[in-house]
Order: sequence, then C-alpha cells, then structure tokens
Amino acid sequence: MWWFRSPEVRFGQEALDSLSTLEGSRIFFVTDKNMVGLGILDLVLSKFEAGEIIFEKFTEVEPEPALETVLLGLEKVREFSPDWIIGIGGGSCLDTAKAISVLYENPEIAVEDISPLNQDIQYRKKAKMIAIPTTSGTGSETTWATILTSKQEKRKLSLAHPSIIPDIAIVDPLLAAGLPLRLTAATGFDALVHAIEAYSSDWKNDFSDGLALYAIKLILGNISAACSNPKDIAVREKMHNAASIAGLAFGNSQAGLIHALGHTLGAVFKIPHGESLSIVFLNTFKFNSKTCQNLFADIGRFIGIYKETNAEVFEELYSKLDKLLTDLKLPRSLKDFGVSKADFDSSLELLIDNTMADPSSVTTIRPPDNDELRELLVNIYEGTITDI
Amino acid sequence: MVKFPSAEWVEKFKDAVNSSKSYAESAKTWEGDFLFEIRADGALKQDFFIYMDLYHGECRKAHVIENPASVKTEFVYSGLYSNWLKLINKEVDPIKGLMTGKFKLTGNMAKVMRYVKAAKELVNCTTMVEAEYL
Repeated sequence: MWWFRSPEVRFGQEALDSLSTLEGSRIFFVTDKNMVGLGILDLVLSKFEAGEIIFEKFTEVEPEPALETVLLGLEKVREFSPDWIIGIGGGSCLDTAKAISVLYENPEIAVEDISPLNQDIQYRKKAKMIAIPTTSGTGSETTWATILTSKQEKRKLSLAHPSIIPDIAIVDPLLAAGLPLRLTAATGFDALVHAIEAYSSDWKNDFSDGLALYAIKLILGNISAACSNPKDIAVREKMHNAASIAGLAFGNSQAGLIHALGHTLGAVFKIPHGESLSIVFLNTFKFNSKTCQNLFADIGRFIGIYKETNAEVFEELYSKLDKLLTDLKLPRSLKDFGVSKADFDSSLELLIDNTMADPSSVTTIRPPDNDELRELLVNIYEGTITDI
Repeated sequence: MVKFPSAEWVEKFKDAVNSSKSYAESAKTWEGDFLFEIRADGALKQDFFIYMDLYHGECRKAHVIENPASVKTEFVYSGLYSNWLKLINKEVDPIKGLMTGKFKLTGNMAKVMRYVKAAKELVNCTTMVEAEYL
C-alpha cells in the first residue's frame, strides 16, 4: 500500500483574499527581507481584519536556508505561541516555515530527527500551517519535505515527514508576477525536473503519474512565454499552477538522481537550486534513459512528439530540452557556472559521498555505483555528454 | 539451497554482504550493529532473531540469537515473517515498509536516513542468497 498526500490548494488570481476567512488569533509569518522590501508581507497582512489577529514575524530566511536559521525562527515561534504559521516566499521561506512548524509541535526532537521513519512525530496540535509561494518552481507548498543546508557538513539535508505538508497552499499567480527573468527560468526549470523525476521515480504510482505528465505539458507550453513576456498573467498562472502540481507529483512519488546531484552541487559550490539542476540535467537525463527510455518516451508522446520508436521519441525530447536550456540561458556545466577545475577535483570524493547519502539517490530509477557517479560528475563539470 | 530463516542462511547472507561492491561503497562509513527480528507468522511458528555487526561496508559478525534480551544493539529492525518474505522478494521497499508499518525500526533515525542507500543494498544482498522458504 501507499498513500497520496495533499494540502487544501486554493489557487487562481486573488486566491490570497481567502485569508480573510481564516479563523485564528495569533499568526506567525516566516519570510525573508525581499518579501518585506517588495511589500508582499504587507499585502498578505492587508487581507486580515485590523485588530482581530495578533501577528509576529521572522524575516531572517536566507537563500538555501541553514539549520541555524530554523533554530532562530523556532525560538521566536516558541515565545509567540501561534495558532497559525504562514510561510511566504520562495522554497527557502516555505521550507524554513515547514521545519519550524514541525519542531514547534515536537519540542523534544532535533531538526535531523525529521524523518519519514520517525513514527513519534506529532501533527498540528498547536498550530496549523499555510504556505504561500511567490516563485513558480519549488512546489514546497504541496510537499512533505524540507531542504535545509548543513554549513558544517557542506551538504543539503532532505528532511521529510508526512506532518510537514502544509494544511493550506495558497497558489496565487499575482504574487509571482514580478519574478525576475533569471529566477523565472531557474525556478520553472526546477518545476520541470520535479515532474520529470516524479514520472520516472522508482516510487512512481498511478496517482502521481497524471499530475507529473500534465505539469510537464503546462511547463513546456508556458515557460518560454513566461520569460519572454513576464507581464502576461495568464502565462504566469499556468506556471504557478504547474509548479504546485509538479510538487504534488514528486511529493507523492519522490525525486531522483538529478535532485540528489543538484542538492550536492548546490551545497558545495553555493549554486542556486534551479541552476544546479540545469547543470546536471542533460547528463543525468541521458544516464537515466538507459533504464527508463520508455517512460521518457511516454512524456514525449504526451507533449506531442509523434515518432515510431521510443528511442526516436526520446532523442527528440532530449533535443527539445537541450534547446530549452539554451533558450532559458541556464548554465549547462560546472565549468559554465565558474567552478574551477582545482575546486572540482578537490571536492570530487565529497560530491560522490554526499550524492550517495541523499535520499533522492535511493528512489532514483537508475542508482549509479561510485564509478558511474564519478564519471557522471566529471562530465557534469566539463559539460560533455557520454554514454555511461 | 538453504532454508530461510536458519543459521545457514545467516552465514550465506553474511558472505553476500561481504561480496557486494555496492554495499561496501554505500556503507563505507557506517558503524552500528543490528538485531533483525523475524516475528512468527504463517509458516514460522517461533520468532527468529539475527545479530549483525556492520562496520565500514563490511559485516564483521552475523549469527542467530536465541534470546534477544541477551544483546543490546544500536538498531532493531522488526517485522512479521510474511513481510520479510515480501522484502526479500522486492515486493516491499525497506523504507516504504517502515513508513507503512510493515516493519518497525528502533534506533537513531537521523543516522539511518544518511545511509538509506546502504539499507537498500543490504536488502538487495538477501536476494543473492538462494533460499527455500518455510
């Protein structure tokens, strides 16, 4: 048996207005300084009736949030004792809010104890949680995982537990309308990879498959337009919905080696998440295709690639995604991103160890051995594609 | 062919673990011993206990334990015999097995989560032992 988990998803333009009906008295916001500076926190606050609810906020979330940041926020949330915790922002803010929420509920556990194997974690007796994404990519608003960085170990921790999933996700495209071009491309690509990995994960299932395929179709149909015409709110809406749908897909079937590598490179070389995925994508996609070309051919046919054999469909899909990376101006290798050969060589064994330790390397469709992973990483550094 | 579970199976399983390159790589920094509990169910009329000392990608010791109270291990992985058969036949993933309550694990979860690949490789080693079931 398995299960499908989802928050209540409130989506579409002005979905944010639904906050006015929220029942509660003490709300704790988790966000970052950008959201404050852009006026998004004020916009959210404006949805509540004045004087009826007491607010507190934690605005110290940084990109690729560290474990220490979660502990700082936790201290504030414990002092405030909210009945709702609301995360607003990109994946970093939402992931931090989700971790704070679980630790607030379970004071006896450490961050690292958030694990799907931990059967003692309590659910939502103190505060419920809302996630409000302002980027269209991470899908954090619909998943039961949180990605935090251990600066000490130079690695990202993929922490997951069913209790992490938000109670409500508010997916309002108006909040992503001002997303800069580079972020639109990188976060949109993240969402695409979520959906591709969801459809080819070792844990794929009937409930996640349809969501994954449709998210891919939405993203490939809208990502270029979102970058070339960022003011088109209808396109933004499709991308915003697609990111949350892709979150539901991979949240219920899990990611794979592309994410395991992305987490690893992101933590070691401080690469933003979406770009770390673009760097590893083509090599890993080709590597996985040796095991699941039929699944990638399903994707190709679903988006309208009509060829006779799976191999032909895969080749055309591969070319399409190759061109997409070029069009979106996303980095395609570590060298492209500016990592020096000396830094790469001195980190190679750490990269292998951390990728192997990432939970996404377990649910991947083609788990590599150390030799394959080493060869893959060397290719990822150079940007060369070979058959492994 | 050996019977599962039996002392002979445990010995063959130890050999399988120690011959697995994938396990050696994924568990190269693992240090910790396990008690595996196969709970009586169906054809297995009595609980069966296996002790394994796993260290740096190698199984240093593996043997049958008569009385589980006689050992204190860092981890205990426990499930019904019928679920063990599903695990060995790859009908159940070891992590999904825990999440769905087919198995129970006691010990430091955070430590195990860093070695999920090693856990999967360990289970894969069971398939390398030709066995007949009760």
